[in-house]
Amino acid sequence: MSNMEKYTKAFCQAFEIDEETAKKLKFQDIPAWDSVGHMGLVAQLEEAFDIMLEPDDIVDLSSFEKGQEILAKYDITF
Amino acid sequence: MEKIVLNELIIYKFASKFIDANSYVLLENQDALIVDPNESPELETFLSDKAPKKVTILLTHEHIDHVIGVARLQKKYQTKVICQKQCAEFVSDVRKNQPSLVLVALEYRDDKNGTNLAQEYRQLIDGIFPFSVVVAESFEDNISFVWQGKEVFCKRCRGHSPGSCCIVLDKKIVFTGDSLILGYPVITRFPGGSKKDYLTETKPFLDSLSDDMLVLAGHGKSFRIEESRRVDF
Repeated sequence: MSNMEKYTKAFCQAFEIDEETAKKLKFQDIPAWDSVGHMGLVAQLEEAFDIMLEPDDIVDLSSFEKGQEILAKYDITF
Repeated sequence: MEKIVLNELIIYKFASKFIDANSYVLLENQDALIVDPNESPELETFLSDKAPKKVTILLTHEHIDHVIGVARLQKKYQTKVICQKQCAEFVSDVRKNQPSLVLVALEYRDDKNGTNLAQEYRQLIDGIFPFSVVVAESFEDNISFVWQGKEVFCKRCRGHSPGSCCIVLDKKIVFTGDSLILGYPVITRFPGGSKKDYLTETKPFLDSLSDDMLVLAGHGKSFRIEESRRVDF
């Protein structure tokens, strides 16, 4: 599975949404992505890529697009 | 600080300024029993004044807002931490005790209310992280012991988190952590949470408790368990 597939899957599983919705998603766009859902997303990403996100990166993770920029800091390329 | 008196029992309650997480303290003969120590400066001052010789810490679950005060207490006092086994595994892992859970919630609240709580919180917790909790005793399903002549019974209550438990004191009081909060549905969406576990394990346990038992919850006000029965999960 490519990094993009793993990344998209993490969003889909965290919020129970389809891929198309995931790729346009921003924080609070859907009820499931609130501060509680955010922790579920973080857990999914950490598990998928075997990383521990820094607190500031967790806070900054505000959209599908922004998440890719953040993961690049952990040497994950898309 | 709020003083809660129930017959001969006196419980001191300290609520966190930031996320309203409650810590509870019982103190007898310079022996302290603390449930879910938070970062409240008032709690720290209270304990410094009372100077307990022994501190027993009980954790209702592993989330950071309920364990953030443990590291400071472990540096200052002779402590014994007791919690459920999965909670113990989580809190003893330095990588898991991250402030992010609280920070995300505070940033969210700041955006909504125009406050600056996240920044204040960052300043307050500076120097606490990273930390790991040294757990003296953990249990799978339940544990009982006597503290200052009072029976303490801790029962695993999964659902909100895998390491959640409820703590019954002297058959009069139950500390429920986030497994029962008056007026709010129990959150089972956190990683490792499970609505099914809540319904099959925690709810039956709570249902078995007597109507007049006093609930000291992880957030919000205290109440009799009968009051919570009027609300469906």
